[in-house]
Amino acid sequence: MTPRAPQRERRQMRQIRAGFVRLGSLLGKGPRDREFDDELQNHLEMLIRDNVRAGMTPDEARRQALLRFDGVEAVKEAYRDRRGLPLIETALQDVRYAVRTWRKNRAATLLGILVMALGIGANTAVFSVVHAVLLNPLPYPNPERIVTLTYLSNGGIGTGERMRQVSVPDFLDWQRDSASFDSMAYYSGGRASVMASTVADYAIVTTVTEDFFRVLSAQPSTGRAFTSEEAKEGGTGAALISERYARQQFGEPARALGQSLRFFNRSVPIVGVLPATFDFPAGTDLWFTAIGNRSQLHRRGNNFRAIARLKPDVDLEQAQTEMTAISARLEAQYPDTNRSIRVVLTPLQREMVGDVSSMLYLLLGAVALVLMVACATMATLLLAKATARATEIAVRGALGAGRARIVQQLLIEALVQAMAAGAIGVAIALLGTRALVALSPANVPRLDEVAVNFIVLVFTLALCALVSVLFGLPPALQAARVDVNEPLRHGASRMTGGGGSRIREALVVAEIALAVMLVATGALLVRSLVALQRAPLGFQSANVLMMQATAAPRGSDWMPSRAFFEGLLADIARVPGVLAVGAMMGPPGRVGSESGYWIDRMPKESPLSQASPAVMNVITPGAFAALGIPIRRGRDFRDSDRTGAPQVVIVNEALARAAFHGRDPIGRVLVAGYDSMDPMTIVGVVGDVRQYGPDREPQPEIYMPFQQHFYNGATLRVLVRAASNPESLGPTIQRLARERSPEVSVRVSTLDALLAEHVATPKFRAWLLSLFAVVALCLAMAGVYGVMAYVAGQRSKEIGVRMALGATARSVLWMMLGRGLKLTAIGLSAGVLGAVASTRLVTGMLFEVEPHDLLTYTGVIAGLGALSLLAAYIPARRATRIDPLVVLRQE
Amino acid sequence: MSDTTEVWQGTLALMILRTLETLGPLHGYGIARRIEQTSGHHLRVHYGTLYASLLKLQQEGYIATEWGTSDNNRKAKFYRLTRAGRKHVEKASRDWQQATDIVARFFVPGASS
Repeated sequence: MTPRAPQRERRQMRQIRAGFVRLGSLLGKGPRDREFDDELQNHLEMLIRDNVRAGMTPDEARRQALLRFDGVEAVKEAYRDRRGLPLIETALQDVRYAVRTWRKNRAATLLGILVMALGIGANTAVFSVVHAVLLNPLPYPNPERIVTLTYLSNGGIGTGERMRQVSVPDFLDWQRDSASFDSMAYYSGGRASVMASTVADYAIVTTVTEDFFRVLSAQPSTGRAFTSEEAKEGGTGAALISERYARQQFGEPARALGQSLRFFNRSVPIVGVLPATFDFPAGTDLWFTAIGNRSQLHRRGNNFRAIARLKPDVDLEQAQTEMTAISARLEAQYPDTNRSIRVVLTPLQREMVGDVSSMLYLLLGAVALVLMVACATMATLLLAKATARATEIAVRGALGAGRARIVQQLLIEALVQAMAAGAIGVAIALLGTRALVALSPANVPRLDEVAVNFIVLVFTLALCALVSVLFGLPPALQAARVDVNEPLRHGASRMTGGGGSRIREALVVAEIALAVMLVATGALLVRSLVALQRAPLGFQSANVLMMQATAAPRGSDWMPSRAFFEGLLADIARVPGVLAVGAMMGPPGRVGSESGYWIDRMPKESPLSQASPAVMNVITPGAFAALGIPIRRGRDFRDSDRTGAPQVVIVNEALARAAFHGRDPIGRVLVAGYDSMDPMTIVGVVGDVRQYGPDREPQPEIYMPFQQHFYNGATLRVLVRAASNPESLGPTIQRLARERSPEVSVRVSTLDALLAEHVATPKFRAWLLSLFAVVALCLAMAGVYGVMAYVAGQRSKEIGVRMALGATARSVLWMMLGRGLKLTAIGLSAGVLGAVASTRLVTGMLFEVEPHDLLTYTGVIAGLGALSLLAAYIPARRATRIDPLVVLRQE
Repeated sequence: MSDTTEVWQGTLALMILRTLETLGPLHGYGIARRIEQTSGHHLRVHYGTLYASLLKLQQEGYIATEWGTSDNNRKAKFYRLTRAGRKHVEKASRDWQQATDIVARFFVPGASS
């Protein structure tokens, strides 16, 4: 016997060969069909001839011969089945058929495809962002071992509140006492004035300690890292710059090496360039190392952020245990400063996304609901369609199509539709992802890493395809199983009752309920946003131009800086169209500095941490007028309030209330733990400003005159109130500043633009959620409309009979509407229950609106109820227009 | 006609190949006639099955087609064995012989007792 394996192989080869030949014959089918016709014709003639020879009459011979062929068509079909690849051939046929059916049914098909595409696109876009921002590990080696060290207050004021910034003395103690970390570093940073050429400009500068890049395991792509010599206390200092900054300032990274930058009053050499992939803290242009004198830093000078890399054999819990013990020791050692302060370790990634994760998860949840509604709507449409096609399917069955053939056809229709939806969905995903990134508030990290996530794209696509098969197939199969004569004889109406309609109604109820949840959440967020935007900030932002300017002192000589601002303010005041001008250190609507204060005198035995807290600000005359902050009592600062003159201070109403309980504060003395402990006389009381943003009550605030406190900082915000159109003043003011000194960095914006940042996050989530809610609403209404229209179509005969027997249009309308009403009512109740549960999750995002706000709920119920009634009314109304004669004649 | 049988599944291909081996190139009608004659008109060839089978054999490379002239002077498609087909017939004949021999033993009187 021949061995088995080669034999099998040969057989396989034969099968493959046959497959190719058959595939080839798919193309150019026409001539081959004709050829075969000829062959059969020939065969038939020879048979007739032989029959005649056998003694039959010609007619009889032909009849017998034809009988032998028992239907030439069946022979041809059998031949064709064998010849081509029937599966592919019929598949192509099905695709063509599917497209043809669409053309006939354009609106419904388009709706189905759009519904699916929206579900696919929106989900992919949102998940792509969530994936890049929240789920994708940080692009550093072993990112899970990088942790941040922050304080947690566990007693007294602000219990449970985390403070992200730590002090250097505490950090040094942690570093000395802990054994859990491979490396530790602290850093601080922000916008600073940097001179790369002859003109100063703002750059984001992060001051870091030597081990900063070791913690993050980052290496410069050009040049070298810091040496210990450069990084040590009182060292020479060196800078690493980002690739972006290098290209911006020097054209290409290699050219940056050896150049030096002037900032913080010193010239610093650039020793290396970090790769574009490294961006921590986000947006940093240059990393600078040089530690000043650390021994004098205060233990509560919480101005730094700390990071560390865990040793490979230490887990987070062990490290936390060690740090808890260390902070308890420090608490005992320094009760004045470290009471109730604990250290908390948090993985860096979690810390980075802390602010935005709840928002992103909210969006993800919302978009998942949209997908559910989309699936439900799709299912409704498919069920209606499949049932409506019962007759057609039965006809196909009657004409000899097998079950498998019908299933294949329906599957292909579903797949073709899924593919069309997929294509549009990909487009929506691409555009949507880009739009999300562009519109995201600035505090969302790692947006540059966002890319369309193809796994999700494929997943949602597959989900949609699955739904279409799941809901499109069973009713069709049911139709195919039924005795083919039944639906042909009675029309499709017999097939509609029972299970199918119940599923359809359940789907509509689910759609309405999900839409209610989304719309209610969206409405609450929008109402919060409106409240936020309407919250009185305490100043008038319209028509105010703001220019941030940094005039560095010459060494310890602050005169140039002081003179620069004094001169600039005088220059600006002379510009036509300027109503008022002034400057301040902390930007309006933000907090520059916080500290404590005492009334009358400083107590002998009282640490600063026991003093009443207040926001500290340094301000020039005219700034209150420029901002429109009313002076309630006393006066504004004057140019004569300068060094040498008596120390004066202005407080806000919140402080006056808190410290003087309604008595007149003018003339009283106040000591602020800010720069000096000199007593200052209160000369004025001004209106409150919401320094912490629109969602927080105004806090006590102390304003000190710039000319008595100029040495606190080189950066001021110049505020210019214009008669109109503040942007047009921008270039003039910038030129005035540059003329006075090219070494001063300036940055111009309007106050409105600055304030917009406050509401950027609430705005983003409110708009997106509303968008999703509207989409879900439209989908749900399409579902209601679809089902009602379908039911109306199915019952047209019954309605015709009723009307023929004397039913009025009105009673028919109510009969139809009743069903829609019932579904809507159930959907709304379920939705309200769902919304009560789900809106609790957004409580933290609401402002001046309760999560169970009655007005919002009433509005949502009324609105959705009215819309779904409308969606039900249109087809119901159409049903009443039925002409009984036409319907009855259709039988 | 009542004593005619449909051709058994799977044996038609072998019959076609054997016919072509014995008689050389033949057209479809000729093959059908020959099979019916050889069976002593006990078999009745279904034409659809015949042509499907011919096509399958052709796709597998056991037979090839060529155009020729039939005895009624018409252009007709002739089927002939290929070399692969000839080898296949030889092997199939051996296998068939073996199979029928084995089955036949069960029908020899006394063999199954």
